[in-house]
Amino acid sequence: MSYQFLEARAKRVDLDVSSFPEGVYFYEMRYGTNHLVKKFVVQR
Amino acid sequence: MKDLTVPMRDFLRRMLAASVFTTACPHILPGKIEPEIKKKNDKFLGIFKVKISKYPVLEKVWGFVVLHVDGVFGYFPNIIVSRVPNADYNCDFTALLDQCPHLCYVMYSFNEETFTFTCTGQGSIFNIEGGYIWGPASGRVLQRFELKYDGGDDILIGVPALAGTVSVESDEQMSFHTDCRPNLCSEKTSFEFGIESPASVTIRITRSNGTEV
Repeated sequence: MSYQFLEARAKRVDLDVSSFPEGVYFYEMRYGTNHLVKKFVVQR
Repeated sequence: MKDLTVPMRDFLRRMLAASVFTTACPHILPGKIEPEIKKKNDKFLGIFKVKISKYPVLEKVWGFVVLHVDGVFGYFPNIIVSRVPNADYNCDFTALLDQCPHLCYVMYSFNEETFTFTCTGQGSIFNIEGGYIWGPASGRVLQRFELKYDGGDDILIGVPALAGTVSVESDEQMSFHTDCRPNLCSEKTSFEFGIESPASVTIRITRSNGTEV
């Protein structure tokens, strides 16, 4: 799953994780030469 | 409200379960460890008990094992546990995240001639305590974990569960960024970001093993 925002300045990103199995996930954000990785956990 | 404390601890214990590998090729898997989950202030900590008798490579100075803690620290969630000479380092063991703080590459095997780790990506060099020596990591250090050893058979290593940031390479242009909320989530989670000047932003969701969802 990936998202692309063109000419983004500020955004709120809503992730629908209802179909994700339980576990640990990461989202990786790239813009220009920058790169950020963060983690979230799906638990039910 | 339903008390989630016990299920959460069970969940975290399973999530943090570590495979223990030898560092030298072939990377033999001598065991798995489940941590004991403790709550410290508002944070959960996984306490791994590494028994030297089970991993005899740690009986000798410059002996290493790797704890592969799946799904916690990014794409290469390895913790390098090293036995070091007490006379030189004033401790018996160190526990470092096998991930360069610059671009998140893993380290080459420990260099026993220079007593250093070298990043496989751009060659930053770190000492056995994780301290920065040289390279584009620019003063940043390898993440070091709490470790207790009282001279017996058990090495206790504390690993934060649900640590927020996994890695940040270079976010000079980032105005703000929020962690996922909620986190733990079941249906939806959200985060926000802002950058100084408009740019094309790509966001990719991956599982803990690096494959795309």
